[in-house]
Amino acid sequence: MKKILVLISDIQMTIIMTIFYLVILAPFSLFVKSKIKPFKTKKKNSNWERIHITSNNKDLMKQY
Amino acid sequence: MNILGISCDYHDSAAVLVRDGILVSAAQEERFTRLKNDSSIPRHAVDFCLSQGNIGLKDIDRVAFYEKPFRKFHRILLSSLATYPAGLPFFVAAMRSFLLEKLWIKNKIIEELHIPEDRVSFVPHHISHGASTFFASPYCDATIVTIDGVGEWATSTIGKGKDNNITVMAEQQFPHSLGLLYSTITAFLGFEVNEGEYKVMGMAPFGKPIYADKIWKLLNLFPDSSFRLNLEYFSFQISESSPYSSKLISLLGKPRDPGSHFFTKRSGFPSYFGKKPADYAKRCEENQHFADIAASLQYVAEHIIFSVIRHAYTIAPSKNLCLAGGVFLNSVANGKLQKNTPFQHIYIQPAAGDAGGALGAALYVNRTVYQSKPFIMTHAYWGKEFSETEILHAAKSYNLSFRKIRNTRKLNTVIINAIMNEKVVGWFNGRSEWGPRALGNRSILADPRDPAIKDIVNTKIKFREPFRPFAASVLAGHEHEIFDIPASPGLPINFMLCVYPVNKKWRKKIPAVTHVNGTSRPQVVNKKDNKRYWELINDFYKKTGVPLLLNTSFNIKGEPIVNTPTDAIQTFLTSELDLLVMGNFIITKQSNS
Ligand SMILES: [Fe+2]
Repeated sequence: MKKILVLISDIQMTIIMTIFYLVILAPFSLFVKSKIKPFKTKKKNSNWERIHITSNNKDLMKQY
Repeated sequence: MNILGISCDYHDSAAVLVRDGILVSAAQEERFTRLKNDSSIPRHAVDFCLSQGNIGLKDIDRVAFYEKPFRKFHRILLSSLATYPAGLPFFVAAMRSFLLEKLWIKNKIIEELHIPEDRVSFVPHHISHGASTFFASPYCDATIVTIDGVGEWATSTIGKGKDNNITVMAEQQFPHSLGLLYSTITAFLGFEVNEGEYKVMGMAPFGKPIYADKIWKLLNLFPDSSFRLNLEYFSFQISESSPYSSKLISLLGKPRDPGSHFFTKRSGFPSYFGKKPADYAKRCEENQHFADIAASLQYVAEHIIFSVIRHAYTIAPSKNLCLAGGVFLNSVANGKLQKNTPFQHIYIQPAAGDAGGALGAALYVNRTVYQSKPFIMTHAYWGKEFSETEILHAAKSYNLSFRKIRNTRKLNTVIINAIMNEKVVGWFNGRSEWGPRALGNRSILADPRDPAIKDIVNTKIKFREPFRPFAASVLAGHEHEIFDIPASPGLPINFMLCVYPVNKKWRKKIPAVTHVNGTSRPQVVNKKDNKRYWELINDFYKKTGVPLLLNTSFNIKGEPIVNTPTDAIQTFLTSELDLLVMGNFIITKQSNS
């Protein structure tokens, strides 16, 4: 994948990404926008996400 | 068991080698490549770590990378969708760097280091920060708080460390970030992001926090110390070129021109700025406005930091506190922690920023996978050391006049006489420091008693903004006499990470290291950690009754701290440093011929 990507020039990459963002991602953005938690504007009384990640989680370091 | 920790691809790339739980070596790539904040794969730092440990790549049991590139990519993708269509410029720039470079870091590590895929671990960014402090601290139980710009999604975390385990209990996520708030105003004030934050901190005491109410408008703070940024004032989430929006300009006024000099009536106008401008009074007034903004930002940032730490105490109580992330390089806030939070003992390691992630990742793998024994970082000397032969070779290759004084007491006498005569000395000794501070092995030294020396050091070599203070290295045992510091400030004071008030009767005695607001950033020097440097300060003390020296990093403005004898000589020759001391050699500018 990377080998193909490096063959594309900077300008081509910019054009491809611009089209990809404005056209392909447009419907996704409408769908996802309201679901991306940190960006939601809904008023809350806390911004802390309570989580529980421990060192016992053996998969923790495998995920890329 | 050899673990290689790596951080790179954002800023401050670094490598560390940990063997059986004990740190062998640690260094930032910039020290070798001479590119400030170099973020490339730390090839040179890795080579150094291996040679320091007398091993080759084949002996590495595991490589630990300091964050999760795909998770970071996930954040960029989703935040681009969340900000659609305004996020276009950010998306295009980020995709280019991710698709061409950053996403393939795993392949790069495998190819360049010849490490099998199953021996590469990816530790989450904030867990790397947390491990870099807790697993280097003297505690087996502690509250852990990390705050930075952003890692993958997290911008701050609260957790608990117990023996070989770290548990993260709460996090705040991008874009709600104290680090990014500080960086945004840093950019507004005309300084470089990830570099100029120190300058904002130094500028703050020249102002008053009269705009704190305006800074508070940039966020909504909740009673539990968490907050959400009001994104309409920011543009870092949609653009890579400017982090603030036009709405911030309407709120705070015109941003400061990065090319202009900063000076106020109190800071004065130094000679190295050239001729005084005709509209000096007007410019002073304009700059006063910027100093007031800096003061207001520092005030708000401190308020948030203390609130987060007090909240951490309620959900993960301990008497010990471990801190990491770039925000904890804010030494002014660090110096006030014990007075403003319930913690008795605090630990921060010298590379609290992202370079420290390499250390954290390696220590995390060591402690959680291999259950290695504990390690405590009490000093910062983990970089490269050079032999007498190497120093001699460098001096000869520049045809410089040098002499060797074997007796260190005699050598110290020569250095101290020079310092007492307003000379500025380059001091190169032992292993280079880990972290952004020079702590007496790659330092520039001068007389702290001399009110004129700040200008002299700046004119001769540093060319720093006149509002930036110089730090002090003080003999252990004298810190309480000179500075108003808590009864047990802990190890961060060895790393020059905290600013404290100078006691009133000392302020006039050490004007060169006392800031405009009567504070200073001391480094406590222990004989057991750095005998050579301790002896030099001790000899200065015997002669003058003042147990400290002015210490600033050995570099020219814009360059990384010197690493090799050749770097030191080049800096010596291109600046007006009066004397260069490397090991037992004294080097002067007269040519050998
Ligand atoms: Fe970070």
